[in-house]
Amino acid sequence: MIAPLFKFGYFGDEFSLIIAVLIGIGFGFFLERAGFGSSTKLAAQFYFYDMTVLKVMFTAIVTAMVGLLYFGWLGILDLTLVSVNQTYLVSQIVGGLILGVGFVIGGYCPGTSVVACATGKKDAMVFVLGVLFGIFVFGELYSYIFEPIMDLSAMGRVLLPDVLHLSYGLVVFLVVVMAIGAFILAEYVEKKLVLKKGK
Amino acid sequence: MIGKISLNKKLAALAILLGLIGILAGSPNESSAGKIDTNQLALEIANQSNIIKPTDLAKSMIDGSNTFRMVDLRNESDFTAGNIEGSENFPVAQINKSDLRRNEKILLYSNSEIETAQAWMLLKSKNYKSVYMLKGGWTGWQREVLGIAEGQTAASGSLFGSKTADETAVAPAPSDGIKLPPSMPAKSGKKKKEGC
Amino acid sequence: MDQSLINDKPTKYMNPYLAGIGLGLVLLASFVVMGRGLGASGAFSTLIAAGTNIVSPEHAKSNAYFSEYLGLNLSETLKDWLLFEVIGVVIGGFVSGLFAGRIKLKTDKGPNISNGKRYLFAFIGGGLMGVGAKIARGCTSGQALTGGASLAFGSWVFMMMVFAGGYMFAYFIRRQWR
Repeated sequence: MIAPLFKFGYFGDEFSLIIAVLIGIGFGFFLERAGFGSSTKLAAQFYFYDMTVLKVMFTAIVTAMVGLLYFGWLGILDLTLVSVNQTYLVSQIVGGLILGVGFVIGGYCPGTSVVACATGKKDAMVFVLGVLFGIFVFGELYSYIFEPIMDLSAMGRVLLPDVLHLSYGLVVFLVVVMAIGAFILAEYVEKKLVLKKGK
Repeated sequence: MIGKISLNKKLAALAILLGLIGILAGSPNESSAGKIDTNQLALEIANQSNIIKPTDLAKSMIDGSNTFRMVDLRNESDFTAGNIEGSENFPVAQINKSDLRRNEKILLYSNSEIETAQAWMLLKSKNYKSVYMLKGGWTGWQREVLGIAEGQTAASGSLFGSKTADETAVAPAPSDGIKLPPSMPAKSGKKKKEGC
Repeated sequence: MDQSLINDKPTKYMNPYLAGIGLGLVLLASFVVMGRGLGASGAFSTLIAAGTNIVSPEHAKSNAYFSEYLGLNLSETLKDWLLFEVIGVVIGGFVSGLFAGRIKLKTDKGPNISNGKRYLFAFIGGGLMGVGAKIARGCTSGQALTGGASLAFGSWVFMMMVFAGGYMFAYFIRRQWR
C-alpha cells in the first residue's frame, strides 16, 4: 500500500499545494470542455432539454468510484485513509435543498461559476460575489441560527454499503447500473424534447 | 452520429463489465492485499531501525515530541494494572480488528518480546508502513524508566519522577508512568476543513 | 436561443460521457495522490475568513465559524489546499475556453430577461448557494461529486436533495431561462 501518497508522507504540505493547482487545472479544464461554463446550459438540466449535468456528473462519479474500488482491491490504495464526507442528515438535507434552489436561480454552482468567470461570463462574476456574500452572512449568523442544526443527526463516516448491508463491490455495481439507466432515460427525454421543438 | 452513439454504448458496456468484476472485490477496506518488500523488511530487522529504546521514548514524551501511537499488546488486566501513559490496549488476538491506520507511527510493546516481534511481522505483512517495537517491552520500560526491578510492584516507587523533577512541563509522575505534556505543540491553529 | 443551444451542443462541447470520464480521472488522481476529493466552496470560505480578518481581526477571531479557517497569519490562512485547487480551476477553465474559442466577455442568460434582472438572480442564487453549501458542508464538487464517488451515505442524500430543490423551484423561475 503506497497510496494515498500524501497521507503516507511521500511529500509535504508545500508540495501538496502544487498538486492542488495541477488537479485544479484538470478539474477546470474538463468542466469547461463539458460546457459547464455556461449558465443556460447548466440550468437546462432543470427543464429536461439538456441533461449534460446529470451525464457528466454521474460518469465522473462512476469513473472515480470504480477506480477507487480497483485500486483498493489491488492493494495500492488504502481506502480507510481516503477522507470520506461525514454524514449529517439534517444539515445535508436542508443544505442540499437550499443549494438546489440556488442552482436554478443563479445558474451555477461554486465550481462551475469559477470556470464561467475564467471564460468571461459577467453573470458568473456577480454569482461569485453572491456566494461570497452568502458565506459571509452564514458566518456572521453562525452562532445564532446555524450552529444548532449543524451537528443534528451526526452519524460519522457512514458509507452506502453500511446502510444497505451489501458489500462495497456490489454497491459499486448497483451504482453503475443505476447510472446507465439514468443515461438511457436522459437521452430519451432529450430526444423527445428536440422533436417537440422541431414541430 | 452513429459512431458517437456506439462509443457511448461501448463505454456503458465497459462500465457494466468493470462493475460486474468489481463485485468479486467484496469489501476492499478489509483486504490485506498488496506487495510486501521482504528485502526492505530484512534490512529493517538487520539495522534494528525498528527498535526504540525506553529512555529515548521517555525523553520524547517529556519534551512533547513523541509522535508514536503506543500499543500495549498485553491482556486487559495487565494493562489496567499499569501501562505507559498514553498507550492503548489491543491484545494481540484483537490486533486485526484495531483501528490502527496504515500511515501511523505505531510502537508495540508487551511482556514478551517474541509476541511483540510476531505482532510487528503481522502488521508489516498487512502493509502498515511504520511499526516499531519497544526494547525490553513493558519490563524494560519499568526497569529503565520507572526504575523498578523485575518482580517489584509498580507502586513501590518511581525514579522517573525524580529524574524529571526539573521538567515543569511534566506533572509529578504517578506510580504507573509519566503524564503526557498537557498539550501537543500546535503547528497551526487552523482546523483543516476537507470537502468543499 | 433554445434551438441554438441544442444545435451547438455536438460541435461545441465535448461528448458529456468523455468529459465525465476525464473529470472522474482527475477526481481519482486526487484520491490516490492526496487521499481527498475535489472542492470549491471551501476556497471561498477561506477568502471570506481572510478578508474579514484583515478588516477586523478581533471580529474574525471571535467568530466561531471564520476562526476555523484562520491560520496563525495571513500567508498560512491562504496556504489552503482548496484555494490553490480553485486557482488551478481558473487556469484550467481559461485554457480550455481559449482552445475552444469560448473566451468572451458576455452575460449568459435566457432570451426573455434583462441583464439587470439576470445579475439580480445570479446574486440571489449565489447567496443561497453560499449559505446552502456551508450548511451542507460542501457543494456539488465537495459533496455530490467527491462524496458520491466515495459512496458516502450523506453525500448521496445531499445529491438527491439538490436535484429535488432544483426541480421543485424550476417552475417558478422558468421565465429567466426560457
